[in-house]
Amino acid sequence: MSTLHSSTETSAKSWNSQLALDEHLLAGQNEAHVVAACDDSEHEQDNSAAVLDDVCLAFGTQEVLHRVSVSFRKGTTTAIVGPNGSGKTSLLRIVAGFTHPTVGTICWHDVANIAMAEQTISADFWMPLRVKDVLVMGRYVTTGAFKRLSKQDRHTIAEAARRMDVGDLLSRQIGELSGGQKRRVRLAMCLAQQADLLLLDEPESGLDITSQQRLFAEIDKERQRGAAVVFTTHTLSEAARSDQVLLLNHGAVVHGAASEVLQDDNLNKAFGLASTSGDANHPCGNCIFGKLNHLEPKLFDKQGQKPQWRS
Amino acid sequence: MEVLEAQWEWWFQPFVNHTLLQEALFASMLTVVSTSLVGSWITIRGMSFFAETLGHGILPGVAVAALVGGSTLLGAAASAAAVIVLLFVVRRYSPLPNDIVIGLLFVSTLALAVLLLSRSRDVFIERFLFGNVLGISSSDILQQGVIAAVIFLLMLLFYRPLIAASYNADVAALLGFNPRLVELGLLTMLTLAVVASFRVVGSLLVFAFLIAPPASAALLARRVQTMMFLAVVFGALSVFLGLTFSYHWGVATSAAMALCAAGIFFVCLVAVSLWHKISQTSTAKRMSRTTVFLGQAEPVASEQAAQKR
Repeated sequence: MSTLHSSTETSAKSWNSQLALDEHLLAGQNEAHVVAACDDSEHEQDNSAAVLDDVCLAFGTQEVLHRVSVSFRKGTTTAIVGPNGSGKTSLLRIVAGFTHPTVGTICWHDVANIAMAEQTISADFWMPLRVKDVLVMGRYVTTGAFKRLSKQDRHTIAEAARRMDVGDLLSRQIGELSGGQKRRVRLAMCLAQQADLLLLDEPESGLDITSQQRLFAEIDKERQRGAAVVFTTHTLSEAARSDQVLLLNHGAVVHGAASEVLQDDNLNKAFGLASTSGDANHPCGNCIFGKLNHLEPKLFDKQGQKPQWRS
Repeated sequence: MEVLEAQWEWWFQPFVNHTLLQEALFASMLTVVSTSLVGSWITIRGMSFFAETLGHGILPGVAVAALVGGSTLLGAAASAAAVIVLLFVVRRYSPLPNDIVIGLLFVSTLALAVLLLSRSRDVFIERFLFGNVLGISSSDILQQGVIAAVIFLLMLLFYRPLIAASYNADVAALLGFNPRLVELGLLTMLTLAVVASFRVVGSLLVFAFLIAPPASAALLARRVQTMMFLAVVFGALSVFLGLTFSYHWGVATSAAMALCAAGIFFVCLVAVSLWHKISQTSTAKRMSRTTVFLGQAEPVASEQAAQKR
């Protein structure tokens, strides 16, 4: 287990958020909170890969995350959704260990290997590096600085290339690729890493429809392998398929099962979406599954006619 | 024209006849190994301006060592370390972009060295700015050999961490490499390369050897190790050409070597541009033929499009 302690004691800042989604948080906002050390036994039992306990993050005077307590369990997928600037990437970077929370703790349990695909890949990146070299880099996690690649490593690399459909790009220079291809290569590298905790920041951005479908299928395979997969997304339909959804809204947070979190009230507060009637035939009634047909355009109607974008 | 008509003797006789030139060639080759290996990473990581600043950053230490009669090598190393620490401290607290901080260090160190040597009648700054490759002693060569060997070993040690950290510092950290340690390793190698080279090519022209051969190699190489190998080859070629031209035409040796290194870069650039142009034209012709064969477009129109491209 590894622990990142930011501050042992602090008084909670005055948090006056009309958009706060969680009543429990609202009730506790004026209490001074003490951050305790990680409790190993409890989280090992529920198979948690990473546990955030009352994590707050501020950049200067601007509060980005406010008392986020959530655990990411192995063999599950968690989608982090929220409007721009709500702290999705910051939260992901805290889970990766790159950013120290201003207050609160993060604990990792039996996580030997974390992989993260960042959202932006510099367009002017230049380096004499082939796609194959990038994928090989993913296995440095086992080979370190000196060991040669084993037969198993080579197999894993080839498999990762196949899974993200970059097999025909292996000898290409990374600088010659398009943005979407670079993204696929980066995701393939993460898969080659065979991480216990896989963090993906808007992984579908820049990918075509086929690649998006392939990506989310591979995310599911990673979950089945036993990895804890955490990804940020603006695609609510994909978030709805996750085991857990974390909805951030400028500090306020609500998390739980997709059908509980992606409800009208929460989405209205976070995104300002107008209320829609939903699909009355759907088993969960007014949940996001029923609403998706209204929120997201369908590509083709039942007769296979021209795409009709709904207002 | 004598260069074009030159025989074997014109190129190689100077090195056979003169021990001084042999030593100069040997010392310069060792310099090239150090600078080309380190310079490849400097080029990849876009640290060329910093490398230039470090080249000048050694001057105050060298000046003090020369004035008090100490080891210029140690003075250069101490000064380089001070510049690196100063850069990190200023970069941490200054909200301004890095290049401004580096630029300020660049002029400050040069001005300080000139100031220190301005009252001396025996020591002149030109000696350190332009080096003296023909005045290299055997102990200097030995020192350079040791430094080149250390750089080579460090390069082997840091090769994979450098690849990962240059691709993405966060990725390197997740793969188990400490990005700060990697940066420290690279800066150590850069300091060693600069300190080892300034007596041969001078602190002003060491930049040419750090940047020009790796830049030429970068135009041709598709892998980092190929780039490093080609950088050493191009560096060695510029040393050989520079010494030969300097011997026959009686011009400044280090300047001739630096100009040859830059010249090789422009030759490579023209060659690569021509190659791209030729391959593009042949691709356009092939596309035009394919279109005609498939009968999907007017051949004349496709040829015109190819010519425009």
